[in-house]
Amino acid sequence: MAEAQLALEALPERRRWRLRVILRRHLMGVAGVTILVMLGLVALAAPLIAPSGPLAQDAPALERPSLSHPFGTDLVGRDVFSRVVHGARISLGIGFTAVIIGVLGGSLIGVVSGYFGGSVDYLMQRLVEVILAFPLLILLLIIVAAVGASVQNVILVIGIVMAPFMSRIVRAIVLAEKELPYIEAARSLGASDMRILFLHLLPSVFPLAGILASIALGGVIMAEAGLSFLGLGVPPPNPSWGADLSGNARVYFQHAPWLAVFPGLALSLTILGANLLAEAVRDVVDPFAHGVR
Amino acid sequence: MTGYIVGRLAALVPILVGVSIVVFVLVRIMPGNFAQLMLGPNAVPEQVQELEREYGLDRPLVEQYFDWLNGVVRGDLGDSYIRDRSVASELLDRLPITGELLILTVGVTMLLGLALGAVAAVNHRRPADGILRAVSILGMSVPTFWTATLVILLPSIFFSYAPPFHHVPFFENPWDNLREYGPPALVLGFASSCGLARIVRGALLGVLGSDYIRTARSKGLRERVVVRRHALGNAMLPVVTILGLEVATLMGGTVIIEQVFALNGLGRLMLESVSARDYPVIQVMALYAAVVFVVMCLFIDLAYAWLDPRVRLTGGRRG
Repeated sequence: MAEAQLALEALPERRRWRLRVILRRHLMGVAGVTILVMLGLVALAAPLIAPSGPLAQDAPALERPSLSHPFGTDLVGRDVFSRVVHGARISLGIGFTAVIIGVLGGSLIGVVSGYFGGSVDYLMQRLVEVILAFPLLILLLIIVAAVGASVQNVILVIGIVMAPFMSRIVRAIVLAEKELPYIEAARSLGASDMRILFLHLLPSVFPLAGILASIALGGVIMAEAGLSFLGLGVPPPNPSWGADLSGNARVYFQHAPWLAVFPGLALSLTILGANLLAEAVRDVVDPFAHGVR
Repeated sequence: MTGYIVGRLAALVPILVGVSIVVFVLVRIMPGNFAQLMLGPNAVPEQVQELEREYGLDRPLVEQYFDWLNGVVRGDLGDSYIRDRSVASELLDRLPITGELLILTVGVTMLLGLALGAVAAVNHRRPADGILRAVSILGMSVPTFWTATLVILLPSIFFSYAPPFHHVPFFENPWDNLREYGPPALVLGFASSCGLARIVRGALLGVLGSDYIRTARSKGLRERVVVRRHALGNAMLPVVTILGLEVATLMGGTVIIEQVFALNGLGRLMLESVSARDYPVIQVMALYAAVVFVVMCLFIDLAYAWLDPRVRLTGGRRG
């Protein structure tokens, strides 16, 4: 998060986003986007790609990887390949929705807090500080345990916990943005606070929100997997990579290493894609972060 | 300086009160309350009520909170529900384990992070830099619980070696102790050193471009001396920030890694108490985590002032 802040401070006032030029210049970004798009397609077409359903127990237990079961089978006779393929839905689905919730929520908090200032700002920032005082995973752990582990709750909780982090950065931008002449012009024309907030300030932080979202994606996917690994994320029958890596995978790994290898590979590849994207975005936003080129 | 520290510590109080209220409420809205979990699914409602009364869980939430706060202020952290002992003694038992893990991990992070970052910066625009950048992105992408599983898995398949799964204090048998803590510290340390290496590289490149480095080079110093004696020190500022935040993040990381390596530290205690709804322990653990985090931020600011005499410590709050 501190990195993102550093990166954003160097953000030029108005930078035109020419996607094509960016992608052509940035090999890593292209690689990251390619990985994410391919995984996204796998997630969308999961029922077509996977030979059986993620919950179907239609094979002998603990079978070695073979042609019919490329990633082997697990303890209750489910095809690991099918589970890994369907796991892309869980991982990417939770990742993207949680990031969207976090960034939208963070933008809202940041814009309101920064625009109104005064006691509104003071109260909101004290609340944000309370949330920021927790190590992320520990906070997630307590809240998920409190509201109960389910896919929707995991999405909501990760999103909500991310919002305060995002709001800090958005607020800093809004503090500068609201002093600009166009806001003053809008106000002198008689625009209401709500109109200025939602029609002028919120759109002006959208590019920033996009940057924040792309940088946060990898961490969010990792957080979901970590929670599920600890048994406090996506509940068991669902094909979550994190959850599949714990439990039986660790009890039987000496006899069935494929249980631990393939979900982990898929998970690492996904986070790698997200991190490559984040890296490329950082390069564009802050060319000096990695030294003069 | 002293005034500044006192001011900052005073600013902590409202944050910690906020943290404790948030956790108190969260913990008590958890589904499956402690009394039910303790008595099992066959318990009669009267039994549950009686147990709740015994632990004071039937009283109003506000009353419970102030009772608890009253105890904490006087140094009484309460007793664990499921373990027959006080939260404080449980905490003290587990602290050395997580403490050693953290110290080793931070050591690994510093060594690897500084070395990799410096090598990358010195080899700027050469293949080594690109390779190291790729390695660091890869290292940040692989979840520690997976690397940890593989670290246990692979040697046990190929060499039928298993890390020792019982606790040996360092001063009794340093070698066995390190065999126990080495692998988890390496796994965690490598992951966080990847992030650190990038910061070190960026900071070092920035410093290497400055005038005084050109002077050092032009008076004929060897590059090695220029980097180590002149550049590294000034490149430490952003590094300190990241390292401090990394330590705070590691508190979360230890929850996972202690679980995988079966280390009976604070992380495991946290997980166990959340599963068992052991309210007093969760309460204190969350407070402890927040204290460490916030105090770490204070240390970062103090380190700034110490490393860079131009930094003046004034004013109160900082996020």
